Amino acid sequence: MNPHTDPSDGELLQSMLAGEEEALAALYRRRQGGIYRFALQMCGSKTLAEDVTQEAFMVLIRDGQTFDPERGSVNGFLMGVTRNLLLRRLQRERFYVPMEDDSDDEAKGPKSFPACDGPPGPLDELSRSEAITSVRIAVLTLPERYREVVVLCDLQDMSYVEAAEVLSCAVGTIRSRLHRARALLIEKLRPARQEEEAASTTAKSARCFA
Amino acid sequence: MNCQNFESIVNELARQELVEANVREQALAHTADCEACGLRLADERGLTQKLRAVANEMNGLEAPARIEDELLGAFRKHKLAQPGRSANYAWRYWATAAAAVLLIVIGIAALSMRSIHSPVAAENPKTPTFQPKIAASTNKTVEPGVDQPKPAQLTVEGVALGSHLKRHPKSLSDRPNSADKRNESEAQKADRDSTVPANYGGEVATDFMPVGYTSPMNLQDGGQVMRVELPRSTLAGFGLPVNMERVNERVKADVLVGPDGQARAIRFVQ
Repeated sequence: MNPHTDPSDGELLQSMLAGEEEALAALYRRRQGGIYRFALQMCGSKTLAEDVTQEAFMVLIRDGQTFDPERGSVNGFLMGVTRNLLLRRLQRERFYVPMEDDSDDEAKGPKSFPACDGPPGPLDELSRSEAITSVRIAVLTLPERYREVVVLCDLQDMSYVEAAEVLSCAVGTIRSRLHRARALLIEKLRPARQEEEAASTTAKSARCFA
Repeated sequence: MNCQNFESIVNELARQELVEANVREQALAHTADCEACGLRLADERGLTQKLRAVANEMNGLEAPARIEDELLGAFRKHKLAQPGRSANYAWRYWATAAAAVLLIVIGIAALSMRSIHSPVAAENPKTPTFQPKIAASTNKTVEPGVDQPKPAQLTVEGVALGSHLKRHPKSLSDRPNSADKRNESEAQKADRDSTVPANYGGEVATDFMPVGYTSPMNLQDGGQVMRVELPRSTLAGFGLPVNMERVNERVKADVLVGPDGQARAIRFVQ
């Protein structure tokens, strides 16, 4: 381990397997955010996301020696473990929690994003929060195979290659699934845009009448 | 560029992924000509904006601190439960494999040694097993009742039966197998020399006779001999003469029980 630079994930993993607790702590602090957000974006439940995050690192502690650096990165390995754990839990429990603390918003349907021309006021913030919630709900209602590519590529900002490594499939599969998933999302969010267009038309009419 | 080609790269255009410059220009030019593709690109760009807003909103989310504490606690327990597992993992793997091979070799050697020293059956001092001598013909009958004091004098159809009556240990269960073999060899010696009486003052017994349809080959498997008492009428079932005056009395017999628990052969003892 080079003391002058940050150790890589692989080096931290090797140190952890050799019994260094600090290595596990460093690896956890570096990667837990992405793992937790991936789980949360996939299931929508903070409780389940916390459980899965903890279990993913427990798998790393127990079976970390099975990690093969030639097959991918430690982060990809962790993401893959998280994804498998999540799918197992979702399949077993038929788990779907709409959105914690936002149960009323689901009934209202998707919201459009407010314009960001000026400094946002309280209403803009509220509207923006609602719009974000509506997008999150739309993502959560996607089938799992489409949801995971949207989460990885659009929300986690992974490349196609990295997503393919996590999902253990071909890059072309990622590309086609993402294409289909985004089309589904656009369909789910379309009513919001139509409302926006209707409002815009009303405003233009008002100006014309003025 | 046509609409189909545009559709294949619309995601990359909207997500601002790397696309060849000339392809990008052609696609943008196509949106100027095709209103549907222009709307399609606008939809995709709008979606990208919304998804990035969601990603930014959730960017600061992290797992609670308690998870780290629980993980570190679990790591300490794991380390205590398996000290030096990772360092000695390969060594332990090969040590286990070597031990397994060694056990297999020892097992094979023990089996071969056992088969050399005990070719017929496993020795058991408390429950002796031996190979019975089978009666060559059921025509050779004998009455082991007390009313025939000298078995050597018994004859059936002119055949001297003395050779078929052998000295038999009084208590088979108390005798080791080697003793049986010695007695058997003595009996074989007596067979060779018909002038030597088979009765040495102990019990006299008939040869073993197969029970039921047991093949003589099965009798070579050995087994366990059990002393039983049977109704005298049993003698008739094996072609032996029965003294009708003592028909209500019982006769002693040794039953050879095979390894499967089935009676294989019987001999009558006086």
